[in-house]
Amino acid sequence: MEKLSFKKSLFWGFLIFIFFMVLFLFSEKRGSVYLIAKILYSIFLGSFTFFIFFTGKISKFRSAFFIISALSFTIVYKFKLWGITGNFFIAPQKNVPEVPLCHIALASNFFITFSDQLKSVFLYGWDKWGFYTIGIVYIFSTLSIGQGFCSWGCFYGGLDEGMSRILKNPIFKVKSIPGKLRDFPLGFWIFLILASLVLLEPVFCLWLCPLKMTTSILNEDNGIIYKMQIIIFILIGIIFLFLLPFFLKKRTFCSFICPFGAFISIAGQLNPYRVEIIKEKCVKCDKCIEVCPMYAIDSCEYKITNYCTKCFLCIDKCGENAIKLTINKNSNNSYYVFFILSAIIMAGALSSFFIPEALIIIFNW
Amino acid sequence: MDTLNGFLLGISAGVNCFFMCCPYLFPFFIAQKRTIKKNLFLVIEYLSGRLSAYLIIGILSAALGIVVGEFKSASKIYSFLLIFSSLLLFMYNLGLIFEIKFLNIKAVMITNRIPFLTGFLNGFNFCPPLITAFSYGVAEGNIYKNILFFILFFLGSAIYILPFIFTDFLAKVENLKNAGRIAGVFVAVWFFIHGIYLLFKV
Repeated sequence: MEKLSFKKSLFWGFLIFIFFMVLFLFSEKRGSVYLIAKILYSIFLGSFTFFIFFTGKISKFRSAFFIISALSFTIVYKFKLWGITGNFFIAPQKNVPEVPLCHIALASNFFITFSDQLKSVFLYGWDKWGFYTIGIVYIFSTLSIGQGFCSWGCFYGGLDEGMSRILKNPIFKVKSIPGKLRDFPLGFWIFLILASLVLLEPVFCLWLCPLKMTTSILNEDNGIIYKMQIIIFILIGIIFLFLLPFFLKKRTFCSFICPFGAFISIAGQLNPYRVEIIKEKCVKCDKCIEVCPMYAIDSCEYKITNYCTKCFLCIDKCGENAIKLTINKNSNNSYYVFFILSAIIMAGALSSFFIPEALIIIFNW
Repeated sequence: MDTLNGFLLGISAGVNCFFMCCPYLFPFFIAQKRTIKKNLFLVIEYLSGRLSAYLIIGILSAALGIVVGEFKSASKIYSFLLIFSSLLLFMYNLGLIFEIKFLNIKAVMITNRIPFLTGFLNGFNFCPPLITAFSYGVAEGNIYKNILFFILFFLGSAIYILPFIFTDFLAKVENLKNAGRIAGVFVAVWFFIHGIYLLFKV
């Protein structure tokens, strides 16, 4: 992306600040401490927008925000859980049968969430936080930023991104993987949907999701099944969320395990934005393939696949300016501006549920 | 015995059939590009397998007069059939993913009849409605009536499988095609484990 002038960057930064300020002034009813935290958060979002446009380095600032968002989510949830149960891991209800309220859970239990959706409409009203609400966020997110949600809005993704950013160079270099194996998460997602349909329980959430470690663990009991579930998801967490991202500098959980990532790689095709390699400009230096955290670039054809989550790392690293954000094969600087603004509004609104609260917890206000 | 009850029982069994067949059938339909017409033949082939299984059950129920207590051995047979069908599914999908000729079922005579075999083997799933149908058959003890009864049972349960014909658009997405094969491998492994579990449980 070409950097914007100081005035233009300031204008967009100020616009984002005003947007969130107005939003929070009208919606925040919990008292002055929360309002101050949200005003600080609005300033943070405005500055974040300004720096992205002024420096033209999208991925650096995006990554910082993304990691802060994931850490804040974990801090807030853990402290709330501690306040309710006196425990950092176990949920207050025992043997929770329902699918947890989370975009990954919804993607992997697509069919069995309909009853929960109906419940949220008939029991709580459609505007309450339920699957319909998440469904609306899904549609808005898909249409505005598509797969970009995985690099901007997801409050879990910052965990493996954070681990992948610790080292400057990877200890083990695995530049690319065979195209057929890259479809593994998509196949796995289809299997999970079918398995949850047959068993009528959230298979991924119970057996495989290591992200429960950031929130709470379902189904507390001492049975053998429960113990097996714990061992499996903790192992997946250690390997795919921590060790592999650290050693490979890749987002391995998001690339190979996350059912939402697989879902959005298909649903995200509805979104018009694409990241594309301009073949005439490309010198095949492989820098983009090396840095892509999602293994989303086909190393044979030098083509960006639909697993791209629009983190813009390849665009920032390409010395030849051969990778562009396009709509209908055309590229224009205004596309970047509108994509980034949409992404900041989406990510900023979602993270407003926990970044300001994390500030209150950290500074003990 | 009112043979029309077979249709009603089939409808009640259909939901169970759908849940059981969906993991088997879905990977089939998206793993290879097919037109609606070809999908129709695939569904017909699969359903023919099921019909054959039901007819055998119908004839057996009439001829043998098995008592309720002996359903345990039927479950044991079903677990063997489940293991066998999951191995077939595993080979079929692995063959497609890695284009291995000896695994690719197209290279073996049996391979072209995989949907039929899967339908046939799945037909022996002794779910509660099928056990009830079986009991009807045993009580009636008339081969011709039982055949009619089980044909109606089949028709009732087949309704749920028909929408699969219209999934042709899914196989047009290249990633989904490959993903369907990978999902097929997972499904096969899962049913294999389920079959082993059933084998030791009964």
